[in-house]
Amino acid sequence: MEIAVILDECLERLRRGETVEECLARYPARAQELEPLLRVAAQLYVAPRPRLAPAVRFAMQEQLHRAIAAKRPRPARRPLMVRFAFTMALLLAVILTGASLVNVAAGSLPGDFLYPAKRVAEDARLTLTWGAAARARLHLERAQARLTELERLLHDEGRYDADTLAALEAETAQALTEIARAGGVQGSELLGQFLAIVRAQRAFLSAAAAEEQDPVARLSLEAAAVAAAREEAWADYALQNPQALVPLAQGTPLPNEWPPAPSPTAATATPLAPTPTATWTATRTPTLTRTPSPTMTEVAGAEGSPTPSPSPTATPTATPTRARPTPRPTLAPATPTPQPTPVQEATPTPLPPTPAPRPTATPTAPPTPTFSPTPRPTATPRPTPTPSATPTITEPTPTPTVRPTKTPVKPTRTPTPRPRQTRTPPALSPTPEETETPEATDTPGSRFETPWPRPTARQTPWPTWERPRETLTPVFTSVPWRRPSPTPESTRPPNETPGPGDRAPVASP
Amino acid sequence: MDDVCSDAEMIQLIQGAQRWETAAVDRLYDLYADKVFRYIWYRVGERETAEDLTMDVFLRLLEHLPSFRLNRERPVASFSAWLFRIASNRVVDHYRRRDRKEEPIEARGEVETRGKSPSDQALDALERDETAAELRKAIARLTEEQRQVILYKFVEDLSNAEVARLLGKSEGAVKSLQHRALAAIQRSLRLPATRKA
Repeated sequence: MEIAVILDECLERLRRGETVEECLARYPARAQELEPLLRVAAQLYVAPRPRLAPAVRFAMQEQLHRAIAAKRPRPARRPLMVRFAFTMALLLAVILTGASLVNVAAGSLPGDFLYPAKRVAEDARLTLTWGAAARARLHLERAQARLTELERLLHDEGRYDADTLAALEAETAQALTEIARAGGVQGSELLGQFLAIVRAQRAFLSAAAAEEQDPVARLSLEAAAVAAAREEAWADYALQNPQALVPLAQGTPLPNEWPPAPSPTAATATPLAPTPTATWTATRTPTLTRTPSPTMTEVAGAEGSPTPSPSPTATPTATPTRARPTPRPTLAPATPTPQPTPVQEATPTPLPPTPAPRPTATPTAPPTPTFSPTPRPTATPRPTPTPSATPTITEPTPTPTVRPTKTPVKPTRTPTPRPRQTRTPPALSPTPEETETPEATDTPGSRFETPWPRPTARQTPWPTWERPRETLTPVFTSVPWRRPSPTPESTRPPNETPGPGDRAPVASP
Repeated sequence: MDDVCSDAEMIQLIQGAQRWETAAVDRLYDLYADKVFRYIWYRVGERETAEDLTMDVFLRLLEHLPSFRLNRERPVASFSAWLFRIASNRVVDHYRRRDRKEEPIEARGEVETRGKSPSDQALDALERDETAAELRKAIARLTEEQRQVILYKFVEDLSNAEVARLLGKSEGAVKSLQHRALAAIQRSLRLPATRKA
């Protein structure tokens, strides 16, 4: 066995605690060779084993800790690009979350929890939109959205929301202003879109008004339909006369009148005044349909009282163009109901005699005779111009039916309006006034917030309106009813409201 | 007292240290700080230098820890071999940087021992012990391989297998080196070569 191996075995024994002598005894033949080496090894086993001083050890450990801390990745030491990317990712997440919220809110309706978010998103989009054309498109979209909401509210949920209707009208008006600002080819294109949208609005609003049970909501819807009809007519006109857009660019409201319409219409209107009235009356008939039978009873009473005659006088002339006059005859009957009326009504009658202005006071004398015989005073006055018209008017008699709804309250009120009429007649007594009466007929137009300028309107507006008339007929039918705000209508006796006589006198002065 | 570490614990310690866990690094330091210090002290003979080099060794360990691949069959031996190799290299570097004009380690050791004042805290009892100083000087005169074998075997109590792995030699070669190293020390210490029975 090699000495190195024997030595290694002996070293292992020394490690386990054997003495040098014990090891040498195991290998006596190699003892001389092994002994010095084992003695050196024994010294080495007990050789000093220095250790680090505690303070040094602690200091070294601290230094190691600092080194470890330096090696650890620190968030603050992230490169700028990494931080930028992180920020952008966060921002994107926020935007996407917001966008999804807006998407969810897109289908909400007024009154829903998310509806405000929808409107805020719309407003933000509008704020970030530049250019009249782009803004006009956006307003048209928003108007369409409001219309859809209104439709869903009415049809799906059976509730009417005044704010949505107001927003619809506001968006439409703003769209028109922006279209005017855009001008040019873009303006014309947008005007075409506007026309289509407003036409749809008018159709929907008219239908909704017809179905609406709540009187206040019905009136609002009818008024909005009329406004839409007016905008429709205006847009139709502006399509052919682009210069009409210019003034609107300043944000001015829709004009009440626009450039003179084709003279032919006007011509026809004036001479044939009576006849047209008749036609319009027909259109109105639908409105009458509403009226329940009770009215009829009243009408009868009214008829009994010849008094109505005053109004008729005025109405016939004016009405022709506007078709409004027609309703008035109907009113005449209502007026009679109150006892006072008869006396006064007599007053108007004098008008035909033109000469006597004040006869009103004395009215009884001259007029009464003339009219009293005729059961239908209203018709009678007209006879001269339109005997034929009278028949037509007779039809309107059903019109009173409309009022029945209101009838209950009105009786009381009726008296009040009468006095007014009494005043007017004197002024009107001159024949010319009669001609003015038509203006009274215009009154329906007054539904539009902006009163229709009667003077100008007579000449110009009528023609312009001819086109829309057919389409608008339904709208107009309701017009007379709207004019009187919910309160007045309710107070007034059904027959009174439309009374042409009432209006004619007021306007004439 | 140096702790003992199992292979399983060593694996966890190395993984923790590679994640820069302070506790894992602290445990490795506790296990090996004194061993490394002794190893270096026996080679340089100066306490302060040995302390500085020990600190350098552990800093280098941290520097190269991420790239260290542990032998999972013999984790402790694997890590020990790697750490002492770092220490050995650090000592070699230390001498390489040192001015060649400086006196050899043996003479320096003697001078150092003699020159230290009693009040010098850097001198501990071991350094003042002449026997210990003689032994250290004898070890210093060995060849690098012989010295390593002696230090690993007698100071650090490593097995032949561990020493063989550390030195990249066979166990037989380690036994031969061990034999030659002991004979060289015996000659240096002028111990009687033979003893007559």
